[in-house]
Amino acid sequence: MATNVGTPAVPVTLVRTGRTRKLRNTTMRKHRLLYLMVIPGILWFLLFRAIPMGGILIAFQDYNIFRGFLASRWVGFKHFAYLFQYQDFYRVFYNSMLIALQEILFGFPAPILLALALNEVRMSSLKRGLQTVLYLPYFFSWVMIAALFFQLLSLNGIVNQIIVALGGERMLLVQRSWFFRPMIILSGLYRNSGYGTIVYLAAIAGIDPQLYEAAMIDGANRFQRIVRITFPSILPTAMVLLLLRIGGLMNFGFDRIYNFLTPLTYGVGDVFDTYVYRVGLTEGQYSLTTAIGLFQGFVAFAMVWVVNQLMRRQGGGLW
Amino acid sequence: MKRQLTRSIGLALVLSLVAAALGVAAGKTEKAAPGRDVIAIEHWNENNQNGIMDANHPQSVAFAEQFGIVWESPMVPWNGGTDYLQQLRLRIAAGELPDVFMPWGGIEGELIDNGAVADLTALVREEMPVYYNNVPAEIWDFIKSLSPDGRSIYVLPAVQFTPLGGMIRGDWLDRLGLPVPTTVDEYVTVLRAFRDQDANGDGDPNNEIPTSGREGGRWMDHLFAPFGIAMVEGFPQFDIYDGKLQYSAVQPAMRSAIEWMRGLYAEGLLDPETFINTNQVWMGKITGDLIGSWYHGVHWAGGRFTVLYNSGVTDVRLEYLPMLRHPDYDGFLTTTDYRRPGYVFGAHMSEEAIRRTMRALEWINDPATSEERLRGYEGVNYLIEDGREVRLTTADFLALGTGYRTSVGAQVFSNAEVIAGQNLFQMSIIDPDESPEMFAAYGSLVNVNRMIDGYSRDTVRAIAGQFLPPSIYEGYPDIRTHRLFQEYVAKIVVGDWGLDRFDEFVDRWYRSGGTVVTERAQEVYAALQ
Repeated sequence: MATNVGTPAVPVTLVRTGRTRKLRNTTMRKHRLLYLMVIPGILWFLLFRAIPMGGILIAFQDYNIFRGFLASRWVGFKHFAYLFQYQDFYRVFYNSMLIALQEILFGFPAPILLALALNEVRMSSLKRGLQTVLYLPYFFSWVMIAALFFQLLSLNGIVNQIIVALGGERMLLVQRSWFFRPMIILSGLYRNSGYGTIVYLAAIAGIDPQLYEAAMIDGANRFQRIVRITFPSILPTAMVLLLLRIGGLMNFGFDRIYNFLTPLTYGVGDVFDTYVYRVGLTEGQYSLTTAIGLFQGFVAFAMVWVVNQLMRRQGGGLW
Repeated sequence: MKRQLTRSIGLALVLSLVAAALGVAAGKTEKAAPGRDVIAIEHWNENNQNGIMDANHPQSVAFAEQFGIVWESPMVPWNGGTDYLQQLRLRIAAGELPDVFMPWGGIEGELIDNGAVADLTALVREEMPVYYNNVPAEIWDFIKSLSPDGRSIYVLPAVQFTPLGGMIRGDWLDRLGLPVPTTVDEYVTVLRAFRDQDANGDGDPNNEIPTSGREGGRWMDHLFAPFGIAMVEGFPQFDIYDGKLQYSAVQPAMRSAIEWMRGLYAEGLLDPETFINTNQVWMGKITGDLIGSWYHGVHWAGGRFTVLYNSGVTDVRLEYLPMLRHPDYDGFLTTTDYRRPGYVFGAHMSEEAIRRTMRALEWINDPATSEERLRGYEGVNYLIEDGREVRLTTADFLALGTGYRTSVGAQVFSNAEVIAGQNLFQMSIIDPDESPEMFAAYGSLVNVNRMIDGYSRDTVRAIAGQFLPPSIYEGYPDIRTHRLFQEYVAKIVVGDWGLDRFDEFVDRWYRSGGTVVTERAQEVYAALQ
C-alpha cells in the first residue's frame, strides 16, 4: 500500500487522516451493499425508537391532546409524585415484577431443556414431526391462545372433566386469583418454548462432533455427554439470550396479559401494560401513563445493566 | 456476474425504499370528493357493530338526494364501549375527529372544553325543531351546564333511548307450571326449579342456567334492583341515600344485595361463569336456549325471540320480569331521562355540513316520519317482486350478500310509546302467514310490545344523580370506570373473598378518590337544585 511516510514536508497527522479516510472510503465502497442494507434498519430505529423518545417529555406536562405538545402546561414531576402516592401503583409494580421474574424462572430454561431433549431424538422423521408440532403454537395469536385456555379450563372443558373423573369437584380456574399467574406462565410455555428451541438447536448443530466421539471413547454415557458437552457448548448463547430477555422483561406483552385478564383477576394480573392501556388509552390520561412508561423503562434498563455487570464478572456480557 | 447481482440487489433496495416513501405520501390523499353539492359525513355510534354503511348503501344514496349528504358509518368495534372509546381517542390523537359521533366514557366535557366540537345552540332550534321540543327542558338545562358559559348547546342528548328490564322465559315457566315471579322469594323458587328440572325441555335437566350476567357484574341489574340500588347497565350510580347524594355501591343495601347474590351463586342459581361472560358468550347462552332469566334492553327482546324461534325453539315465549319486591327494601328499577350524550359535531365541520346533517337527524328522530323510516329502503328492507313489496327479514337481507343491514340508526329520541308505535306499524306490514321467519319477526314484535307495557307499569324511577357531568371524575379514572366495585363484587359473590371484605371496599373506594368525587357530585347536585 502506498504511503506518504518519509516525506518530511507533510505533517504526520495529516498523512494519517488522509490514509484513514481513503481506507474508509475503500471499505465503504467495497461493502457498500452491506451499508445499504443497514439503512432500513437505521431508519426504523430513528423513526420508531429514537424520534418517539421525544414523546417522553409529556410525562412532565399536563398534556392536552387538543392543544398539542407546545401549548401544554409544564408541571415538572407532578405525575411521578402522584404515581408513588397512588395505592394501585405498588400493586401494578409488584404484579409486573413478579410475573416477569416467574417468566424468566420458567420460560427461560424451558426451550433449553426442550432443545436438549429434541437433540436426543434420533429418528429424524419423529424429530421433524415433533418440531413442527412444537413450533406451531408460536404462530397463534394471544387471543387464540387465551380462548383455547378458557375453553380447556371452562366448566365443561377437558381439565374439569379430568378433575371430575378423578373424583374432584368442578371449578372455574380462570376466575381464581391463585391460578392467574401460573396460567400466564403455562400459556407462555405452550406458545414460546418450541419456537425458542430454534436458536439452541442451531447452537447444538455447531458443536464439533469430534468432542462427542472422544467422550464416547472415554466411556461417557448419553447423559454425561449432554451435561459435559452439549450444555456447556450452548451456554454462551443462552447467556446472551438471557440478557436480551431481561431487557424485554418489562415489555412483557400487553396482549399476553390482557386477553386473560378479568375484573376477578385484576388484583394479581394488572401489570404496567394493562394499566397504561386502561388509564392512558381509554381514559386519555396521557401524561400520567407516559410517566409510568418512563418508570417502567428505567426499571428495565437497571435490570439489564445489573445482569450485564454480573455477566462481565463471569467473562461474558454484551458490553 | 457477482457485480451485476450486487447492483441489481442494490437497485431493488433503493426502489423499495422509494416505493415505501411514495406509499406513505399516497396515504395522505384527500377523500374522493362526492358529487358537486353533496357533502360526505362520517358518522360513528355504537350501532355500527351491526354493519357498515358506505356511500353506496341505499340509505346513503337516498340521503344524498334528500339532505345533500353522503352518510357513511364505518365499522367501529364496540365491546361494551371500551374498544369504541379507544378508537375514538386514536382519532382524536391523530387530529381526525369523525364528523358526527356519539361521545362515550364522559369524553364530551373534554371535547367541549378544548373547542373540538361545534356550538349548536342556534342551529339546533332552526334545523331540529321537533327534536328540540321533544327533549324535556331540564335535559337541555343539563346539556347547557356542560358548556363553559353555561348557556350553549354542544351535545344532542339521547333521551329515554331504551327501557331496560328483566326478562324470563315464559315457555320454561309453563313447562314447570310456575307463574312469573314478583318477589325475591318467588324468584328464588323459580330459579331452583330451572336448575333442577328440564326447563328447556331438551331432555337434559342439567344444562339450564337459571340466571346470568356479564363480566364486571354488568347486566345483572335485576338482582340489585330489589335492594334499591341505583344502577344503569351494571354501573352503580349516584342517588339519594340518607338524605344525601351518594354512590349506590358503597351503601349497606349493596352489602345485602351482594350477600343475597353470593347465596344464589353458592346454590348454583347464578351462572358460575357470570363474571367472565363476554357479550358474545352471554348472548350465545341466551340464544342457545340455556338461560332462564336475564336483564337487558326490553326492545331488544325481539331479537332474542327471533333467533330462538328460528333455531327450532318454536314455542319460545319471553315474559317481562317485573322488579322483584323485597320485604326489607324499597326496590326500584333505575331509569334516567337523560340516558347519555347522543351526538356531537366536530368543530372542523362547515356550518352547511352541520345544518344538512342536523336535517337528517331531525328526520330520523321525528316520530311523524317513523313509518317512512320503517318501510326502509329497497334491497335492504324490502324487494319489489311482481310489483309487490316483499319485506325482508334480517336473515333475508344478510343472504343478499350486500353486507348491508337495515340501518336508519342514529335515533336519539324515543320512548316506550314511540317504540311500541313503531312495532305496531311494522306488524301491520308483515304478513305472518308467508313464512315461519316472518311469524317469528311478527311474534317478536308482539312480544316486545307486551314487555314495554310491563315496563311502563313497573316500579321505575329516575335517579337523582342522572344529571352529573363527567368532570366530577377528573383525575380519578378508576372511580369513573367502577373498577374497584367490579373487582370486589365479583370476588365476594363467587366466594373468593368473605363478605367482610365489603367494608374494605367501601374504605378503599373513599380513599382512592371516592370522597372527592362524592363531594363534587353533591356540589353539582346542589347547584342544579
